[in-house]
Amino acid sequence: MNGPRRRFRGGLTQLGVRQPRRSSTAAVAVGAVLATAGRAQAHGFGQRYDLPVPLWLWVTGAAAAVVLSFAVIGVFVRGTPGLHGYPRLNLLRWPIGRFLAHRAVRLTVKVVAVALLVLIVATGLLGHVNPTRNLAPTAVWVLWWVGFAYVSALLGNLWTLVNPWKSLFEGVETLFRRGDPDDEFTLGVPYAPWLGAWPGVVLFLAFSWGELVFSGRAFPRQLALMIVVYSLITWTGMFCFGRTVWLRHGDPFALAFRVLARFAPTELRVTDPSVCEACPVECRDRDGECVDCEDCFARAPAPRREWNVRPFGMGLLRNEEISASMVVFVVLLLSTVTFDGFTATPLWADLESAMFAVLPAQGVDRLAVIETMGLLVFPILFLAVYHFFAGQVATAGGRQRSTGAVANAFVVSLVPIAIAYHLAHYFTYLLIQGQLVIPLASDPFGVGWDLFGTAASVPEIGIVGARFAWYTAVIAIVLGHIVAVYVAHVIALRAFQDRRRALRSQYPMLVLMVSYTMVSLWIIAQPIVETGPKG
Amino acid sequence: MKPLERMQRAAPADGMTTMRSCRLFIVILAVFLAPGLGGAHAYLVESSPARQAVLGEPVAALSAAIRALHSRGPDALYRLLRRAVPIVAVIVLLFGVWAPAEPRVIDLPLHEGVLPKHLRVMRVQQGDDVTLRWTTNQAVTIHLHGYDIERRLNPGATITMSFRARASGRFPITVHGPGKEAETTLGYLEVHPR
Repeated sequence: MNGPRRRFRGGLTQLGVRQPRRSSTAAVAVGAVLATAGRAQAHGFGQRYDLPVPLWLWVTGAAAAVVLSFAVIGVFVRGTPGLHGYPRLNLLRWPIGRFLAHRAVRLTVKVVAVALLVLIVATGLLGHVNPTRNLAPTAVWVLWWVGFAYVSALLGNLWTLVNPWKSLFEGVETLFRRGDPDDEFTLGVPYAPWLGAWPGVVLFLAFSWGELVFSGRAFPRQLALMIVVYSLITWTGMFCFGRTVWLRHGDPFALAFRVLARFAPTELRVTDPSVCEACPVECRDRDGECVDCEDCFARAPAPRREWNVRPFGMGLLRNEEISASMVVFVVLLLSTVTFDGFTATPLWADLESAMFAVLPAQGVDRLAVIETMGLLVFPILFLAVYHFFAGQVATAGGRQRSTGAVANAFVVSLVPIAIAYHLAHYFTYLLIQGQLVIPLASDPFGVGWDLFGTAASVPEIGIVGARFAWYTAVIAIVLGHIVAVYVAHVIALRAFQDRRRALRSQYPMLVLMVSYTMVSLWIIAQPIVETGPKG
Repeated sequence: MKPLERMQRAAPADGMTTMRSCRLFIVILAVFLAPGLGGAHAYLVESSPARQAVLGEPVAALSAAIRALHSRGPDALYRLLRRAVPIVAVIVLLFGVWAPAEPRVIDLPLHEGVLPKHLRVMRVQQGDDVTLRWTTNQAVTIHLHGYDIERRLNPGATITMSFRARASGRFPITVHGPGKEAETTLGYLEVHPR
């Protein structure tokens, strides 16, 4: 195990886990932290203590996924549930819903979010250089990036409400506004249709590199710089093309959380389509419905607004136009989530050591090169596999539609599998590493404050037992798989008029989904290793 | 890593896991098979021959055989068995869930900052009183993550880490020694749930 350079995934977290005020050991560890420049953990920051899922549970989960897939097919042989709308319950009918959706509440949330952004950038730039004594890494990587994916998928698209960059820009807009309340603060550069979601794809790839490869990702200074650079890009985009247009096409996080939130059990809906005439983007889907367009929702008169509760996954059934660039974006999102888990498996450790030995030693950081290659190869591989199966689906459906059209139509059906995997993968991580925020809230800059008297608190590693985590993970993955199969069937019935063809088209899709679910299960059944290349 | 090496790493460090899986198997048997067998038995003995005939000749023959057995043997034995099944199931279940915590002592000789291969994954059960006894040939600092225990090791001395394995999980043990630019992972402590 004598490697030329070993990564240490946990070196950063140990400081937070340890009693925070023991300076002698902290000094040793800070040295180690600086020396390795954050080549510490696969995803942004923090350590996972998960035990691998045992073999028998792995097999049970896999078998359940296969058997239940056929049960779903059985349902569709008889009828077409979900093809024409889904049950909805308007929360605005009750005082509590109206209170939560009230302007003052929304404004409060926005102000708090902006204040938090300012605090995080400030701690990043000015606070302690040790990642676990500074609020920024935990807040960004654990609470925001992992936590907000949970919120988006399980509650709704709250990012569109919280997004502090949007709120700040709106504030500036209000200052510069003359007359028309719909006036946007923008140069009004027309957004070329061929651009699609490509800016979002490029920026998301850059972000993923920052999250999974960039050696400075966990360090407060570098992290704050990443935030500043992102802010500049975002505001430039908003200023050039208009806030709404940029958020709908170019902003990677608005796009990502929007995709995840299509699975969520809440939606914003405007019942009067004429409201959307004034919308800067084409927000209505093919059925003429305006769902989850916060701009139109804000513009619509109160009786035309709905804030609905819907069953999980139903938002994926909406008949929305999806462009080729959006397909690439969704596949990129899915592949980076999988890649993140894959980099902690023994198989990846072996691959990395093999490639480490092959690459020339001089000049470059070989591990970074290998990881960057992995990060690029994974989406390409995913896209190739997806297009192959889309071709099979098109053929099985009688060639009524081209491969490209099939790929566009079915891509959202893969989202539940990715969400389920994400939930399973990060469940204990979020519960254990998320606790770091308790001491950090009292001392966000790491300068010895104790604002709330919690600065000395230590995360409880036994908050969930391994067995509970295993069952949660496997049940989530199997449920996600079932929803995915169901969604794909509804899309097939819409895409192929003939029921027999639609059902037949789903066999290739089923193979794809079962394989994807198996990969998810396989990853959580792998022991997490943090070995670098072996010499 | 070679396949053989991975197998070694995956193999349990002691017999506990095998014993546990046997226990789990017995529990599953008790929970699922006992009512099933009971139900089948009741069906064969008590339902009418006409209904049994629906299932075919072998079932009717089996039923006749069981009835013959009953008419010959003492009925009290049958009643006792029927009562014993749930009692045994409960005992087996308790045995499966409850197992006494054991003291676990693991000797860990560190050589040039590296552990022998078979000790790189240490397995214990949740609730065990674990003692890790370290020896080394060079001065290093080792850190058990999660449980967050750090010890300084010097050549010639045995240093122990003692703790109750209260939380399950897979916890890395890292070393930072003199002249090393980074922390390296020595191995993992796996605390398995009972």
